[in-house]
Amino acid sequence: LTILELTGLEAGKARLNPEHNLIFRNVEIVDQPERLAKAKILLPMPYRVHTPRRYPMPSSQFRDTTDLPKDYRGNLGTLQVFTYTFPSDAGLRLSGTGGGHYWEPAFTSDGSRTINLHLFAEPDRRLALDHGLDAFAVCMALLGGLRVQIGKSSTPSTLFENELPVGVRTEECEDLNERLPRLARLGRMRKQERDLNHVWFPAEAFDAPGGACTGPALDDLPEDLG
Amino acid sequence: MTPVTDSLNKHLRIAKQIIANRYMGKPDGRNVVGVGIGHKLIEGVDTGIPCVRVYVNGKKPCPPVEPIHPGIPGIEIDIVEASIPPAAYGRPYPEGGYPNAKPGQPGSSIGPVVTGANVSELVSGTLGVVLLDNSNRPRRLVSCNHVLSRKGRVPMGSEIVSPALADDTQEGALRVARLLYAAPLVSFGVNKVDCAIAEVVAPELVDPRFPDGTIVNRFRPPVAGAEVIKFGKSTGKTSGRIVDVESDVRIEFDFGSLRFEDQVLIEGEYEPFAAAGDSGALVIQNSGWKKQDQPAGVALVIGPLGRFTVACPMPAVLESLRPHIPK
Repeated sequence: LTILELTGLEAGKARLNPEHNLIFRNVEIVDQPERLAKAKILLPMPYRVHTPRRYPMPSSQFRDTTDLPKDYRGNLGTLQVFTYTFPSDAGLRLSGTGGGHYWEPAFTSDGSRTINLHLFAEPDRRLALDHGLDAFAVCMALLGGLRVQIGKSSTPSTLFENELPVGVRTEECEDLNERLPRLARLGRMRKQERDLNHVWFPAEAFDAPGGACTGPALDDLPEDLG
Repeated sequence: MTPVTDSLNKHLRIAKQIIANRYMGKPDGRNVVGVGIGHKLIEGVDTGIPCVRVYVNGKKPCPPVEPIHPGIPGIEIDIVEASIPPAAYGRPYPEGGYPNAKPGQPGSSIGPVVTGANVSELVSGTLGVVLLDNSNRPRRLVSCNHVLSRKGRVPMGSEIVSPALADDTQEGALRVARLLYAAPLVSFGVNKVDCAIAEVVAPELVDPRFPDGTIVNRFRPPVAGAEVIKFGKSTGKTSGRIVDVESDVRIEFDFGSLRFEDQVLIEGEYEPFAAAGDSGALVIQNSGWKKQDQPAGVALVIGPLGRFTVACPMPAVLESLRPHIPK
């Protein structure tokens, strides 16, 4: 199991918004998570949390709601933006297994005075048909086998652009399985000597977009995950 | 309204070709993303003056345009911003409207059963139209090549289901057809259509009526200025206006970037006219014909050009599929 820790940040007290997330309370992660998880990433509690992209999924669309929290409000977060303050960019790093993960923090120099780190928990290719269901099931297994199963939704995950915090742009909210085809498109445009500024111009055929991964959140987290 | 003489039409087409070849997609600061022919608009008002429409990704100062050709006098050019942010032009969709199409009905979700690793399992689009035989039995389904065939990656004879497996929330996808033919899409050269046809294998599961109850069995050439509607699996029923019937554009697919010519451009009354998942939807003109007001299919949705929807003209679609349409 790869274990990484984001360090050099000042911890905050923000919590996930229950309007936008499925939150389990007083639940612990199984003893040997490495059986189910690829990596464990330790993050301080952030100064602010936004969940600008969400799957609307009412309780009625779940296949199993036995352990679904009573206060679930019908949205599954598919993108979390944690905001931290930090005293110096020189102190930021992803420490951990094998010397940590190479990451040289860089200010975006767009006036927002921010540094963005993107963490993806999904495949880097078009998702398989049942990827969302399977990934959610693994999350439930990680939480000791909670009896909650999501159903399929034909409603796409929606990005609420007006909820993006300062320093985050729409373009960088793409999933990895969307971002890689975008890079391939950029490469083709370069070889064709086309205007690279058009890489974000909306001209993609209207076949259905890729899905987005989702999972639950825990509150009252165990100490080592806090 | 300025009459379009044969001579003017010819000059417009030549001018369009010259501009498209010279500037489209070129990194010269002009930001040209498409070139077509339509009416010149001044502050949103249709002047009726035929012109070459140059679609740009944002207006900004750019190098001067070279003369089009010394032998082509007096061609009007309209620079059209294709990428205006939605808030600047859009109006919210009105409440209500028709419910989403049922599986097997035009406007519903459709897709192939994918078996190869070179196609995403999530591919889906819209069932455009059901073609009937003389006994009014459903015989063929029409949608896009990039939905049903993925540029030849889905083998002929593959099962076609509605809804597409990606949209099948109830595990009830209907095996309605099998892939019969896809008009070839070319990577090198210019495409005229993006369409495919499937043979109905379960006519009892196919309903040729659109969600508003109409059956479209007439097809006509698209006309600039016409008011149109479409039923798409993602955005349902939307309305808009054809602004161009001869545009040259480039559409981006997962399997490459393809150039199309003589495409229809539609501007939504309520933005957008179409969105991801609406590929294959039939663009329908309900009225405005000289003799009788019967709905007619005029184009097939394939993708966007910024705020516009690109669709291929039905006469070209039917011509390419004709050998596979039963008499």
